[in-house]
Amino acid sequence: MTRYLIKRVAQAVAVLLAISATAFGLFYAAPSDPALIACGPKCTSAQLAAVRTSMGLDQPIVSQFTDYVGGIVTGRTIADVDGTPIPCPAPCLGYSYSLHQPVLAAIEDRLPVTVSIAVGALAVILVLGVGSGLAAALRRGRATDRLLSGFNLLGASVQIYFLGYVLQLLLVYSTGLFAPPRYVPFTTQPAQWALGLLLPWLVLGFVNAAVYARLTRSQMLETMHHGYVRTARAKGLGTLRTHLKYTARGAAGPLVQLLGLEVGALLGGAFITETVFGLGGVGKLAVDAVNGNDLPTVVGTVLLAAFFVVVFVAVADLVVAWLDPRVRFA
Amino acid sequence: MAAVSVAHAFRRDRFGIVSLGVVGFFLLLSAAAPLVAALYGKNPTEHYGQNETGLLSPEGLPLLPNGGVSAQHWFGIEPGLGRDVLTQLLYGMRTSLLIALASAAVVAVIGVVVGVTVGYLSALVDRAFTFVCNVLLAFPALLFLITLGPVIQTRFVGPGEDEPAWMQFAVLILVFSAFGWVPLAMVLRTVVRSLREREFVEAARALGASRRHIVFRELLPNVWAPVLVHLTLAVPAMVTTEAALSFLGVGINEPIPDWGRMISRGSDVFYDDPTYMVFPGASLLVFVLAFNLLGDAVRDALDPHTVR
Amino acid sequence: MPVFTPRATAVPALATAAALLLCSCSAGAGANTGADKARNSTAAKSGQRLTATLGTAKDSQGPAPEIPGARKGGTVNVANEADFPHLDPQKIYAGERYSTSLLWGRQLTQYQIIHGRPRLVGDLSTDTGTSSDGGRTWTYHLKNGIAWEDGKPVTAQQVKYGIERTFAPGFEVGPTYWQPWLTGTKDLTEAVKKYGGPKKDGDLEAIETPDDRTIVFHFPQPQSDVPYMASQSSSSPVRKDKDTGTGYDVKPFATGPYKIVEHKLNKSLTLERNPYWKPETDSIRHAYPDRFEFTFGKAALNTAQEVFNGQGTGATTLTTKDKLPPELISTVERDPAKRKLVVSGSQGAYTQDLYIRNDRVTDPEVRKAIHYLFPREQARQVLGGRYAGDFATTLSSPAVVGWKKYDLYPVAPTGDIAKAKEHLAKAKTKVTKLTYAYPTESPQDDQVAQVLADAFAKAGIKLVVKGLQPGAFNDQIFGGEDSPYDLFLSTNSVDWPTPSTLLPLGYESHLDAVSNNTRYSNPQVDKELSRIAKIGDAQKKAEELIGLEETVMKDVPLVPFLYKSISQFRGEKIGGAATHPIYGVPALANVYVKNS
Repeated sequence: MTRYLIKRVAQAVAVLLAISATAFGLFYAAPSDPALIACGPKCTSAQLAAVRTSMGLDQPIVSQFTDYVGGIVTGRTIADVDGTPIPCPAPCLGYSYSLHQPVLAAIEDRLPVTVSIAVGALAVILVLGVGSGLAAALRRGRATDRLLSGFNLLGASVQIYFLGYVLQLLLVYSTGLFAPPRYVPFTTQPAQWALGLLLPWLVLGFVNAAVYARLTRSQMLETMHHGYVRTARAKGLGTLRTHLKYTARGAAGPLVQLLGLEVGALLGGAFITETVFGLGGVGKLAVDAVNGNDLPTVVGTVLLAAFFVVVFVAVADLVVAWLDPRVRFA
Repeated sequence: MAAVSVAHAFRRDRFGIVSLGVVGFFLLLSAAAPLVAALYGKNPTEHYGQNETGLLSPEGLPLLPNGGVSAQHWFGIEPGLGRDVLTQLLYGMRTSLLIALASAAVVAVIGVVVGVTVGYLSALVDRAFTFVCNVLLAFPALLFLITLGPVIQTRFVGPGEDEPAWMQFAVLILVFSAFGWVPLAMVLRTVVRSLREREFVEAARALGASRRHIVFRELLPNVWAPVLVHLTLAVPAMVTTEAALSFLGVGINEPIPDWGRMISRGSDVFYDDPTYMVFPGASLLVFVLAFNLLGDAVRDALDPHTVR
Repeated sequence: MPVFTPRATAVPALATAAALLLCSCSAGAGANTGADKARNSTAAKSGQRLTATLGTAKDSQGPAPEIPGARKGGTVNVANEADFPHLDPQKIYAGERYSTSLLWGRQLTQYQIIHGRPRLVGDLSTDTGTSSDGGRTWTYHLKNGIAWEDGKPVTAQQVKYGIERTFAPGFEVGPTYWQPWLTGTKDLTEAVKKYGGPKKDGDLEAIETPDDRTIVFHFPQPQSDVPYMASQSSSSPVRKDKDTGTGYDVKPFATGPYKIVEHKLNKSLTLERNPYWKPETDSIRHAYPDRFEFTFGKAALNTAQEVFNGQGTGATTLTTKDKLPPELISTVERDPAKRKLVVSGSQGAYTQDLYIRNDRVTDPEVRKAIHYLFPREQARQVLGGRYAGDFATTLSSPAVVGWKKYDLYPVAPTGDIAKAKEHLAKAKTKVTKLTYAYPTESPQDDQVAQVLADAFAKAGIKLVVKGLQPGAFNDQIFGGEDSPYDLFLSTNSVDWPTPSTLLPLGYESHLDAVSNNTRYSNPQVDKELSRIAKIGDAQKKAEELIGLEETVMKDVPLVPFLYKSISQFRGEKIGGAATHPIYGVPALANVYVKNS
């Protein structure tokens, strides 16, 4: 298991490095000069040169990149537009000249929103997706199965930017059944926290649940026919207990892997959901950064999103390895 | 598996037939959009509401109920500019389908070539492939798509020039393909790896067949089923992603009609003119639903082992 | 609509406005009634005529006269889609930011609003300033008992330091009057060569501080507009030990009734009472609420829904930057309960015009053609009809003192394509293509572009429309000397009451594109401007400038479009919300939370 773990971590680091290099290269080829934005519209060419120097933009891109990666590991000091040194402790994801703060600090500010959205959406996905998948598998071919499949297919086909607005306008602004979407910290007002995020959770969960329902159903059906499950039943174990103890465990592998990817993706920021519901999470930060040409923040949020995906995919792999010994020794 | 039995299996699937019909209808409509528009006597770019009186209020909302639905404008008119919704929808579908189908074609080519090659070649190539896939899968694709549009615009379009329509399309097709080939290639790699251990490939190899022969004659004919399934499901995904980009304001520009932009505009005017959002929203829903159902049906027909 | 207004932005007209029109007239035709009823709307009449008042030393004494019915306490929520690009007092340069920053910042002078009428009074200073030496020397005395948020007193040296900062690099975004005035140079570029800010060149000799509460300005040339300039945000004190450089742009140190507790950029801004602010030193600000909580990032449409329906914090929310979305106008007009929550008024002396780069479109005949084919009616319809304002025919707003109506090239609001074609035929070179740039901030921006493209096509001109990210738009339109764009829409205002900031700071040929947006150049006008600059009498100067305006407009440097109106909204429990007659947005210093 340890060897597997080391191998998995090494892989993850390599993937992250590759992504940061790609992001860095691509986004620094972006439209307008970030120095120009930091310098303002009345910038003279002499000032611009000074700003470029203090932002390190006059360095070759490779050395900018190594500085950046070095900053993540050891932290570094970044010069502000006017040359003021700003400490940026490890893991330093760069300094945003538009937000006047280290990128990591900006992300930390917004991460609670994104985490909150992710947690609730995940719960909905599990209940709606896995739950209905299980139910459909156990009631295979009957009305429940058909109904659930139809419902899930609808979820897979509808778009957040359509459903989100329609529900928001119908359920919140026309009838007042739901509270207007907003974020209040869980620690101060847990009830308000849940109320304010309920609609985004439901919409995000509903739209994403279909894949899980389908996968759960097919995995369950497949495992049900495996020998060991049949044996268990033949030995007189009750239907439900058999399914929970043997079938579900055997069927969980692909599901866990998919969930790992999902958790990672959700934590990286739900761009459209955050935009539709006006929630200021990491996704909104990233979209704003793209629109405002705030390159350090763009690269930082890309890396963060990738980091979460890589980490949670790795975690999912480990869970699968633990669930199913065959993977470990393959 | 013979094509005949697939067709037979498909024909027994009622949902499959209906969804095929719907998809076919959509394809036909978008192909014949200019003809339909000519018969109907409207075009998607003229500002009817602004040029004719009695259509829009001074604040730009349709005066007639239900978004200005009338004998003249069957689906009503767009708030603000007063363009004809029906022709916008028709031409918007062309936009979506053109991008999705073209991307699907590129994805198919790249996916098949890479998937089959990697599946057939050595473990070293396989590792490199897995690494590239991991990188692309972890990459926040949507963020990338949002950023890339402006980059390309500034790099390749003169500041005083329009970004030509073909370039807007090409950029989207390019980025969709850049991420879209990965899952297909991964599936095919697995398929090919299991195939190459099978008797008929072994037999071919034992008989001294060239690699070329094995790949083209023995392997390729056996991967078309997963490719077809994958593509049928990829097309609606691309249509919705394209709409999402336009919704975020980085897809296809005005005045080329686009569903995502219509939905985005619809969400603004929903309160006073819900009709305007319902048409593109519902069209997109039906379109995607039909494609997904079709994808399911194709999958079931091609794979008799699927437990239903 | 462009929010960024590089040159003008802030203070219009010689003070005092007509009452604001929170109209209670009958609703207009709903969107789904076909009849074309008379649309008496809540849209305010734009461009109110203003007259000037300079307050006395007595007017400058606090506290500010009570607003009937107002009560202390509660939290006011302010919701805007976008955060403030600057909070550094020396970088703030826009009506909305001027108005909002009054909550925590104080200036030498400021506008006091009573019954909707503005009057310039002393703020930090005991009066609006006294001049001697024919206007070359201006003296201000600071009031007793004005303190920073940590209790330390505000001194004359800190006011001086604040003004010195405006010379430093990075502060070009603020107004550019102090710098040339104090150094006797013709513009900022020349001024900063003589003095480059406190970090580089230390003490600025032109400002003298004989004691902690006296500040004396020495100008090489006579200046008459000093009291108005002293009300601009750049005339705020800054404490050296609290000057955190670029960080000061996020969280400045307070002298006003509130202090900034927390500012998360693009997310939130929280204000709490500054315990060291004394109402008796301040005749401008009421500080009724205990807290202000600003939130950023929510779409204006959603905020509007919450405010009109009283959902969430909607009842105690108002907007200062977000406008009433055009899509909601008929909903609001149908419902009297919602209609009364609209805060509307003339947006100061703001005008919105179609700017033409005269260095690119050099032929006046072509510019005349653009004037005739511009589809004002259609463009305004997209922007919200009468809510956007009234059609303009003049360069300056009727809110500017001494304004005279003229209409040099009358044209129907829908445009006159035939006339446009005539002028195009007269042009020396045939024009077939023009470029129009706009910042992509709202869907209306895209629509206006389509409206223009449609009209230009009818006159045989292909209009290339380019939506740019707001940052890129500003860079490319105002930044460089050679912009690739011919046309753009822009909303601007004179900087204060007198017409003296309009032509001299926008239409003289040596100015750069940031000031002279159209790159207008006419030697005759230059000559006139330098002649008028030497006129000592303020009244005569104003008349001459108004007279010269028509000469400029004969060349069609731009196409007048609208005298701006503004409509915003406030929650049911917010009292005292009215459009500031100078800054053109709800004056936060007057709002209170109603007893429920």
